[in-house]
Amino acid sequence: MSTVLMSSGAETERVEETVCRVGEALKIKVESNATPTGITVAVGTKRPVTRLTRVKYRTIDHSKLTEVNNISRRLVAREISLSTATELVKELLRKPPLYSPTTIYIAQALCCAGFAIILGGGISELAPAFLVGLLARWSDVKCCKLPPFLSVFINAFVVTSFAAVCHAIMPSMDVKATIIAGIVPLLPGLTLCNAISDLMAGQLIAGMARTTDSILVAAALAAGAAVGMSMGTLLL
Amino acid sequence: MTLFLQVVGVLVGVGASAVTFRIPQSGIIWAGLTGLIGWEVYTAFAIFGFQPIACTLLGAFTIAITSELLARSLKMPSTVFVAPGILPLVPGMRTYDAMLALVTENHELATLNSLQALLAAGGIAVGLLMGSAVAKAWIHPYHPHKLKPRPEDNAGQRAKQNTLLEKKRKRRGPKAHHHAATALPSSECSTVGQASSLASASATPTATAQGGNTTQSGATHVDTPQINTPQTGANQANTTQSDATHVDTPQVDTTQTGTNQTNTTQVDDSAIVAPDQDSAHSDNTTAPPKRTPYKRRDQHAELTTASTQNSPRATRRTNRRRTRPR
Repeated sequence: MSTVLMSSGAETERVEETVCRVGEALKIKVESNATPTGITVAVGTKRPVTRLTRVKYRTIDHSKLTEVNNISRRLVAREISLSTATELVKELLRKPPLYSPTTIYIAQALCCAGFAIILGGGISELAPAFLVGLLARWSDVKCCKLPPFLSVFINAFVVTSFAAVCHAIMPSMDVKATIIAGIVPLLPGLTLCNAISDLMAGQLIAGMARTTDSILVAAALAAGAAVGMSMGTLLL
Repeated sequence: MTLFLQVVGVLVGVGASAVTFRIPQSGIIWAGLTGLIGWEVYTAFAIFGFQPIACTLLGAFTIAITSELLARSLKMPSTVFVAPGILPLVPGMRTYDAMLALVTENHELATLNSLQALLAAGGIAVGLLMGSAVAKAWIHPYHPHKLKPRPEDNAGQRAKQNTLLEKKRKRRGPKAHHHAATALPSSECSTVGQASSLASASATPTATAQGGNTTQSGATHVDTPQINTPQTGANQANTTQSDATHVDTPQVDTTQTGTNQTNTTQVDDSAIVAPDQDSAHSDNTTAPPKRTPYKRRDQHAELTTASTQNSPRATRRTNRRRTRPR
């Protein structure tokens, strides 16, 4: 259960608190130690049974986060028993993703279009930003086998160079807004948020690990954007 | 017109990014509204002439508070609303300028812009922190009167009923543990009655100690046809408990419900001493290697049955506590 939480992008504090609350509800002494890469849970006082779970995949899936949260809350409120909760979690793992890939493509494109407007673009930036979003999602899907930093680098490069191409085709366009709109959804904002909240909650290891992670991703993003932009300036 | 376009842009952008974060459908609109509120606060303070960093901080603060409130009313984690909500506040312009200046080798401008972008990012972080801290400290985790009560939520009413029930139960005395008393020989009934009254008088018996002792005694007395005489003390309560696994054996498990640490140590001593006596009676070999598997099994049994055993009391205890949505 906590593995699901951690691999779908929850804060460390939330994972530990969930484990502790479930233990409280079942009237067992539970100690847990969660990091972004693994969770250790010890059950019992005198001779604890300790389990170590490795967290392999870390994605962002708030629907699973919400579901697990609901399950644990119902378990603590004694609306469901432990076996039912386990069944529910297994069912949750078997469930197909909430949104289809097409929906996510369109969503990211719309997201880019919306941010293009916020960042000072007009109607003329809508279509390029939409296309940039589609392209960013496409390259993200294509690069998912690569290590995350490299994939982010390629992503940013694709976005900026495509925006430059758009600008070459349509000189009246605002490149700035388009590029930023394409890059903003790629930013590691959630990781950084979680890192800060982990640090403030006293989860020093997890907080530092996540901070470093987000800084590295941001650096890769900046490098990709810089390469794309320098190519764009050469092109123009 | 521009304002309208911007509002639509924020709503669409934040809502769509909420979809890319896989937020459940019911939360998308709320996430968009959170982002809109944060963005409007940001622009409003920018119009008043605040520094961009201060504006970002205030916007993030508002977003944090809004999302905590939404989390409480919609029963979702607050991250669901925060993560897409802060996206409009991200200092994209500054970062872009910094990158452009770096590419064109204008290092002074690049340093200035990247510093400002970093500070704005720090402003987001600090604003979020302040907002969530304030929300957690001053907003009550649960408002039974302000929120519309759902059937599963009216913990306040149930708590009131439960206090009444508990008063009734106290008046009735040891009747609550009657099922435990029936499992015993008549000579021990009196002690059990006394013990259960003690247990009901003590406000909160530590659940963990109880669980641990159950497993200990269960592990030591699985094979033995021996009755452990309950120790009667001033602050010591012995109740019998027959698990599903021990029905066939004629032995009696002693479980202890108490609040003191001394109680647990006493019972542990007896549990450790017991195997030696057993080996004298039946030809058992050394106890310690045998203890671990039984204990494991018992612990798992405890895990599965703890939710169903003595559930009414535990339900009351958890319901009286405030449940905070996470």
